[in-house]
Amino acid sequence: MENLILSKNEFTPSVNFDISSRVLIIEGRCIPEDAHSFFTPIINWISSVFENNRFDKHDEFQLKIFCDYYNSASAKMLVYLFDKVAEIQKGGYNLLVSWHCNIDDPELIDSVNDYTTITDAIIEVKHI
Amino acid sequence: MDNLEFIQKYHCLLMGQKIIVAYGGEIKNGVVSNVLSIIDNSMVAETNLSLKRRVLQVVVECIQNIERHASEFIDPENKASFLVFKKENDYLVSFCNSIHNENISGLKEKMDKINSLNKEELGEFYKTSLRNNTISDKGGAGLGLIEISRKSGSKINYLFEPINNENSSFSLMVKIS
Repeated sequence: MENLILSKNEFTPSVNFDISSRVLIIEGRCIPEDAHSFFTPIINWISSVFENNRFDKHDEFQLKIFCDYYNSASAKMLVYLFDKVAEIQKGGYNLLVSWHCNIDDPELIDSVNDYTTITDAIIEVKHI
Repeated sequence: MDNLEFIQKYHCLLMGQKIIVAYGGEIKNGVVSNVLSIIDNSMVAETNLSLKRRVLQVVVECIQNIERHASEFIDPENKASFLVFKKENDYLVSFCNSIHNENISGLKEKMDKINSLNKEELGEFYKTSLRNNTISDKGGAGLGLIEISRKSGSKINYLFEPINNENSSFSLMVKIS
């Protein structure tokens, strides 16, 4: 399976999904005008990792998010991403999701908690 | 008002405020990134990082909203103007662009609904909309105005002024504090 590597630019975060490390990282602000086109390959990639029993359910995968600023269209696409995460987690896979927030940023922490309320994904807030 | 009188009043207005960015013209690719870097630079002394980020977020939502609806306008250049300025400890963000008259009532209804909600109700409305809205073929999620109100923490002040039988100018202003 190929890795998914996208460079950071002024509108979108870097994406580093390296299948061998089993650590998936999204880092940077996310304000694309076309959020659907940006997120769809990410959601599809994560989905395909956990298809066809490619990995043992006990294998640990981590999705780490470092993003303190995203636009409203990305906010909606994150719902779809976390819906997929919830499906994978409910399927018994060991996918650990963490959103790394500055401790002085209660707005971001509230936003992350909103996602755990409106999707069934388990997302850990980690303070940086 | 003759031109010189207008210019004099315009200068008085500008001199009395701390202008962060003023723009008038076509909204096209590149405007967002240029404006963001101008705001970043102009607000470099702002120590309240949450405030700075919320100003950026509101401006991005406003510009992308205009970009998304560009095809609706008869004016092929999709002209708009916006002004971000500091007044005491608050930042004011105002935008003006054209809108088809047939779209006014829906937009007005949405803003009135948002303005009728208190902070907690707005938070719930946001979560419900975030869950239930879908991405439109224009790429929006119908969340922009809610976010503009949430991030600013203020009501959305708006004004529609007829341009002709088909179009009106739509002005929006929020205070971010």
